[in-house]
Amino acid sequence: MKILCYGENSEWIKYSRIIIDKLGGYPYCVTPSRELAEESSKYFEETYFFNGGVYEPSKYCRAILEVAGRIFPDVSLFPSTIKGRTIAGLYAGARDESIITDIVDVDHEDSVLKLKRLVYGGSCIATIKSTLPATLCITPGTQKPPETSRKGSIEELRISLENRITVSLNPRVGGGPPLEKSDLVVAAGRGFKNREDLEMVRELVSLTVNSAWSVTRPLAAEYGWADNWIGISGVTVNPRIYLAVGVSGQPLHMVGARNSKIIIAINKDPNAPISQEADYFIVGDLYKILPKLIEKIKTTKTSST
Amino acid sequence: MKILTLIKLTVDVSQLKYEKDGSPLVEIAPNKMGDSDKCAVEEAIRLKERYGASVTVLTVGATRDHERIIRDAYAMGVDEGYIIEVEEYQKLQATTIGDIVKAFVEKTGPYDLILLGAGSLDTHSYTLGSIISSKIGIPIISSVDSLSYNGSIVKAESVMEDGVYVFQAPPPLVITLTTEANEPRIPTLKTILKSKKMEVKKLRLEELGVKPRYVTIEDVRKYFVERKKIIIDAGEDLEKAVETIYSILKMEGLVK
Repeated sequence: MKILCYGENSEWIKYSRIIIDKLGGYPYCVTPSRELAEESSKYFEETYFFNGGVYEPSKYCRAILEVAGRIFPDVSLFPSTIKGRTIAGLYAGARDESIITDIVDVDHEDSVLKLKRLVYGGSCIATIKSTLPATLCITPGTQKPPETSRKGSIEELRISLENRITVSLNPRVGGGPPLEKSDLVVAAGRGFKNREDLEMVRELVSLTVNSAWSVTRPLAAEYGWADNWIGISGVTVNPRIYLAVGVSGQPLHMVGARNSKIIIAINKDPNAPISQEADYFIVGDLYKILPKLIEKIKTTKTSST
Repeated sequence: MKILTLIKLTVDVSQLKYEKDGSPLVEIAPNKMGDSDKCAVEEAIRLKERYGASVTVLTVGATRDHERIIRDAYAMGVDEGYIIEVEEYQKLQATTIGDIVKAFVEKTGPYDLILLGAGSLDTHSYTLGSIISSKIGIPIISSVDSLSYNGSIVKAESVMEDGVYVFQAPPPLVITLTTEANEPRIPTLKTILKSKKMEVKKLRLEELGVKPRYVTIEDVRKYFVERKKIIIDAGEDLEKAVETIYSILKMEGLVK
């Protein structure tokens, strides 16, 4: 089996290699920069790259199709991110092959793929069979293959990157440890009334070890209160503790949080859906609980030093 | 200007119930027009009001609910609606929907804009727009959170993991919209009454010359991670609630 992977970012390049080993195939990777190609060559036998510049799906897809036209992949892998899905749709449409997204597990019997994907907003898992060739969008995980000293080949693609669509990017100004690698993730939801109130969340993060905070999608995309969000269209996390504050627990959000070891939820609505998905469900006003918790950590710290 | 909007009948996931073995009772779950599809219809109607356009709506399926959502779109201001009749519409492969839209556009188009929701509530693959873009050969702008048009150029903003992308291009375009794009209007009694008298046109796959391909689904089960579900009422005992959170953080070694 020949497997072609679109290497969107470094974390995904590593994780995709785990998926490839599970399927058992010969791996090719296409990356949108030389830097990512260098990374990919540690895990992939053959890597192709193009200087993609700012993301624009049809431009990126042309480069990946160019490689597919040379190697005839049986399986093509993309990350189930907004960009990955959009490029994958163009790619599968051009190749007129099956496309399956939100895949959380892969397996195969001879030339039939057996895939598990999330459906109904992440509240169910469906087992789907697919013939080859197929385009698969995989929910990115954080596992990494062992480091090797191997170095695969790298080839630059020379393709036209002209486009009818012009695009510009206003990048986020980030900070703090990445969400995906944090042991404690504090998530703020619509229970927060004002942007300034997120200061409590920031303070809590500053008082804890290897922690980060984020929000639900409306707070980021609608109100612009944060740089990223947790959920099916945002980031998937797997911390030791997930502290959901004022988060109702809609399925599309919970998909991004379910892999957490312990889920603690603070919500004033005793019937919020998150009550069914929390290890500890604190029914109450976050505006009373968070200040007390911060105070408790501060005073205990002072008394012990 | 000619605008095509695509709408999907989706399962209202928040009201999904389950069998004892965890299989979802999809047949009895309420259905509705996809939330982001509704935003696509709204966007089309706003363009119609501003620039004058004919708006066509298309859905795929074969139930009375499909007729209902076409009428919902009529009540919002859509001019013409079609149902492509497919019995097993829920199992159609996304690429087949792409083929259907392509054949439909060849029959009734061309369109300046094809608008649809970025992803549905039930299968949320977020790929249909780009499949259509590929099949028809019109560029795509996907997951748009805010759209504007000045009569010649479309400007679309999309919030992604690494920042805000601003795409600009002239029509024809395929555009997928998120639920952040707008607040869909609530139809008035007058428009609802009018929508009931409008004709819903129907086409069969054979009339479009499309051969359907289906997804092979072996099993669907509730996805659930068993949790302890310990409930603490902070209204009754704030100290205990705070102590509980603190001790878990401490136990995991996460307090500085």
